[in-house]
Amino acid sequence: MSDLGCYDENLSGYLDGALSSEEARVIESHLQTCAHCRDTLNRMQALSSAVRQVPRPEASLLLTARILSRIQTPEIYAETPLNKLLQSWGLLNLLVLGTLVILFGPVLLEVMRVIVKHLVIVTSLVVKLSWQLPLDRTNLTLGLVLIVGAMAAFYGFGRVFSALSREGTIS
Amino acid sequence: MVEVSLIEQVKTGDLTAFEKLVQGTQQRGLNIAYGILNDPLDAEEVLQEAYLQVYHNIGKLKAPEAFRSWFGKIITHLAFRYSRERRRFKTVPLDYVRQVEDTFIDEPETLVLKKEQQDQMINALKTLPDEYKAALILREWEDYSYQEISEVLDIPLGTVKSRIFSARKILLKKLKEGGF
Ligand SMILES: [Zn+2]
Repeated sequence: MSDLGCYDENLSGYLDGALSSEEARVIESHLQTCAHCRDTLNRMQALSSAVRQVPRPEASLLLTARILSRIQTPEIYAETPLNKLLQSWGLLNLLVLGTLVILFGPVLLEVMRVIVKHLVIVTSLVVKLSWQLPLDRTNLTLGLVLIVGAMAAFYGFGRVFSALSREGTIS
Repeated sequence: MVEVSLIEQVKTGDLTAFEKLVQGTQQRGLNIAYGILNDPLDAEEVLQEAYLQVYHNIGKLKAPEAFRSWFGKIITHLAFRYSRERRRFKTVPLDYVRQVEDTFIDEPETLVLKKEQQDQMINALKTLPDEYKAALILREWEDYSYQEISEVLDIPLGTVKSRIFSARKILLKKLKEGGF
């Protein structure tokens, strides 16, 4: 008979050992007289062991390393407006350089070859020339802009590259 | 069980201790995330995020003994959010659910292979609402007590009891033809 004593929710709780001793005692004595509830309990038990048998994926070996690297390098990768600007600057420079190499590759290579071959002469010439340049405001500013611009381009491109490798596009 | 002394070390910002904590708890964490999301890659994604939160917020964990509940809470919250966002982008559900229901209700087979039974179970689990899945998985896979589940999910004990029961009832109904 499945009458007033049948209370499935408590059977589920009974299975998990989550009932008070009084509630458990009531269920146990009910189970002795009710085939319907015995059957339900058996099915819930079978279900419970089947759920426990469901295969789970194993944590990948690299998981710990990935988590640690994310903790150690948080802010550098933050997408602030300044960082975005630097990235664009880096990419623009790379683009210009790439275009120059494609258009004048052989000529540039020849110039490089000459410079390397006569490195001593070229260096002394450059040093001599730079001494002759007046150290006025215009020249200083120009030098500063060139240096900062190059550094920013390097940094910006470095960021683009590391962001790409973090995404796994480059390995 | 995570040692209290290890938690105290992690609180000081000790990365070696944190690494030990991750290694000791990641499989359990992954099980919970996978139980809710049913996708290994999504589960790892959520787990990584969860550990970042653990690292940055562990100072707020007053009682180190409560780590298990606290950790479970972080993972379930993130997994629920991930699941909601995923649903917004992937529009499979309705057809898929109907297809799953068909396999369970209209199949008169009595002799089912073990592997097949497992697949049926996984598919049935997928159809449960996230909140039911979480309660059931914490109980069955990670042996959380009803008290712990109520802390993790922020629901009263009675609700834990009825959610686990409802999850089981739905599963039994879906799997009835599968031999359960
Ligand atoms: Zn009964």
